[in-house]
Amino acid sequence: MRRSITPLLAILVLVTASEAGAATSMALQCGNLFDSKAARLVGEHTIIAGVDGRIQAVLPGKATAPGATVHDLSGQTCMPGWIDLHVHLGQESNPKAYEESFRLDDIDFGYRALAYADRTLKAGFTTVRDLGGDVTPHLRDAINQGYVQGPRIYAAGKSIATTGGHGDPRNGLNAELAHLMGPPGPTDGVINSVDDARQAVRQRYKDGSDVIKITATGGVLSYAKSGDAPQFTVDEVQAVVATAQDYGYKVAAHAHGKEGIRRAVEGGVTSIEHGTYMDDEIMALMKKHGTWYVPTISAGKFVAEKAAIDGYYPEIIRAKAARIGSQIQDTFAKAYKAGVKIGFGTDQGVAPHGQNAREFGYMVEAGMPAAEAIQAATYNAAEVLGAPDLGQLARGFRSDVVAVAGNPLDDIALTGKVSFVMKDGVVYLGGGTQ
Amino acid sequence: MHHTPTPLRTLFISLIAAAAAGPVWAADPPPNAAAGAKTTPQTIVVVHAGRLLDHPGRAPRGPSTIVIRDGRIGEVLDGFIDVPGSQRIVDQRTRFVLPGLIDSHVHLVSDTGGQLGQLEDVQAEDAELAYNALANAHKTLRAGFTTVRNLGDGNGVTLALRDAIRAGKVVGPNIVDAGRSISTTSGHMDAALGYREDFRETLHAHDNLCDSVESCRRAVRIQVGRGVDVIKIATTGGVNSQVGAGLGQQMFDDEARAIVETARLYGKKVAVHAHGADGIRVALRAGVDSIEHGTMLDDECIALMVKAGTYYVPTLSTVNGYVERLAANPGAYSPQVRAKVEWRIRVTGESLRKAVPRGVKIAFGTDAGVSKHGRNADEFELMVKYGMTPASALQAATVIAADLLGLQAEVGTIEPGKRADLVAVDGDPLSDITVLKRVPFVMKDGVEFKDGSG
Repeated sequence: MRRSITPLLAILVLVTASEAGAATSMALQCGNLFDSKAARLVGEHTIIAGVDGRIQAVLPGKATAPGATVHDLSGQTCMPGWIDLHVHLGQESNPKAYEESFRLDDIDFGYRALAYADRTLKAGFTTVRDLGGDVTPHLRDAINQGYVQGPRIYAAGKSIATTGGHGDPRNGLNAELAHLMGPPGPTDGVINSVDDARQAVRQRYKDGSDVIKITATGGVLSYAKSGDAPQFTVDEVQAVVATAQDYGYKVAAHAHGKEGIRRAVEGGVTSIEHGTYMDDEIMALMKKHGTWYVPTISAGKFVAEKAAIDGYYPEIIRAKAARIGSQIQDTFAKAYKAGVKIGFGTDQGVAPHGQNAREFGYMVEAGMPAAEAIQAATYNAAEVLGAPDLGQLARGFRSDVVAVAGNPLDDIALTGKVSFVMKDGVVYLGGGTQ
Repeated sequence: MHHTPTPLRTLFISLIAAAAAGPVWAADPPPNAAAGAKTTPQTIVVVHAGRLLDHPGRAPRGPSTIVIRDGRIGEVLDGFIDVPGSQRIVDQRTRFVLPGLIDSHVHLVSDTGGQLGQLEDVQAEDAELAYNALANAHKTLRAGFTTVRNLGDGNGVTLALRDAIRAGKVVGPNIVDAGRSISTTSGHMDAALGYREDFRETLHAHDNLCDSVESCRRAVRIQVGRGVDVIKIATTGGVNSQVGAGLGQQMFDDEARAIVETARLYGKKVAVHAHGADGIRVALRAGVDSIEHGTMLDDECIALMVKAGTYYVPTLSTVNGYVERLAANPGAYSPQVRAKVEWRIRVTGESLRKAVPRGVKIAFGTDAGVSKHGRNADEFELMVKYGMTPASALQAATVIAADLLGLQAEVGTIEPGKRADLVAVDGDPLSDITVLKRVPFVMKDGVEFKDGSG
């Protein structure tokens, strides 16, 4: 907690400097531009970013506008700011993470989240969907109000589980403490009926969530035996989805096991997260329902690797991490081939924040063309969010731009070396007139 | 989990009852054990000892014969004698036999420690801890410790184990138990320390914290009601307390006095966890029976202890626990505990070095639970390192500890009428104390303990 004070001050100074820079419009003279709708490069273009944080124009070649500050991005490829559909900014794995969850308060994680948010933004991810955590809605507000810097956040707040399920806050406590604390209910994100489901979604509205997250099956990192058993009934999923629609919320469903995925899809969720054990039948069902798949290969790779280290995870978690973690990339390869709609998401917070772009490499490694991987993190992801002004570089869209030196379609690893980041017309990394 | 208090819980009567019940956990039952109770003749077991330290503090005897009648010492004779009517002869003719050892400070439920121990406190069920405690009791007995004083656990697990052992349901050392230890709010026994806010509010519900004369009296009476044998309190902070609030005084004189006075009403002794000299003095002014750890004993404390006959239980072994745990995992402790652990590693032993030449009564105690169960005898080596002779260290673990525990009529020496609690070692512990780390023979109540029994 004490150590976080210095970075906090540094961030405040940076924000002030960046805001000063936003007083004029900007001309980003990009050596190359990625058209996220068509998933292709369209050559040299200039993006005119207005003072209102939106794109005024995208002009061919090297151009400028009256009074605009010019940023020379020649040799660089400009893309719409990337969107990570699955992060947890309130946490990050470390060998003591499990024990820390018993010791530390939300405020402690809140300070850490400042650093995670900063790293995420500097890695080129100008928007994230945070799928679970009490801290993030508050971080979102602080970012939106300009107190701290970070990506644009769509926050789920506390995820919704069933009793004993992935995200039941009493999991792992002994009977005495669990009894003293009382059974968790819809307010805590634990439901056991249609009525509970409605109440839980409405509570999320009251808490200021932007999206609803359910945990339709067991999970890897919860203190429980099953990682894949279904944990919601179809009518419970439907109740969540129907109530969410009242508030304009989309529903993201964490799911590993086949039956749980099936129920979530039939219940009408927007996206399946992880989707580890989906098969051909499920993939066909997802296509039929138009359900998105957010693979989170990064998390799978990370937990499988850490499961090999003695003591990194409690034993009950370790076995699940080894088994489920190693499966996700294969599932992604099959789902892509089958034509399931793919949205980009990492589950960062499992793997370290700021390393989000590694997911691009894992997707390409599994057979997806680089252009489609970047499209998944831009055009597609904006559609998953239901954000009509994100994910494209075109007039009226948010001035969210990320650039790398060179051509990321030829070398996807370049996505890990971001040279320029702009969010809402404010430059956070790189730039300059040279 | 709470036990029904009955008069039978008082130590003296329970001991008589246990003795009358006889050795029911025998691995090799005597031939006529199954015969009708009323006509069962006396069970006689004979131990032939190569050398015998029957009374630590005096010179050891040569070849000797110990006659055990119904689990108690009958006679101690010179030479290897054939005793008519004996069921069997236990041959320890090549070994050095001494009284069963006593550890005055253990916590049998666990030796997990560190941050994992903190997790265990809110994750493990009492039933799970009960199995742990039983396994640790076996390790302790296997190591030659036939009597232990258990100075604090959570929910009465060790009280239940004590009763089960006394009733012969399971095998283990004889246990003198303190129930739940008592401290002030946010003191060493506050189970809520170090957890996140919502847990902390919930865990504050326990009844072992007191902050006034009245609440301290009540805290003692609650433990008495659970059937404890001794009262354990903390007058200072603790190394393992999850709070960076120092190791000095954390209880006022009137509170400590109220605790001791209340304990006396019920005939209970009071053992005090204390590190800082100011907190030790609070305890000594209140007239307690023993100072545990006593890390910062100064001249004034020592003078008061000598004058009042207060026992000092050094628990040097804790350092072994800290060093080993940190070697296995540098992140084993939270930052605020880590700082105290490092301090304790640096200074432990200095108090013993000061106390020994001044004649403070030293009782053997390890704080096993911080150190590993079954490694209790490692303490001997440290006691010798910090100024005691092997002979005086052995006294500390037998006659002196027996006095502290109020069991001087039962254990501590091999004398007629006492319980037949014996250990035998290869070599001479009076010249090489480390032979006690390898105990090949343990007998409790006249019955040999073997791995797997019970």
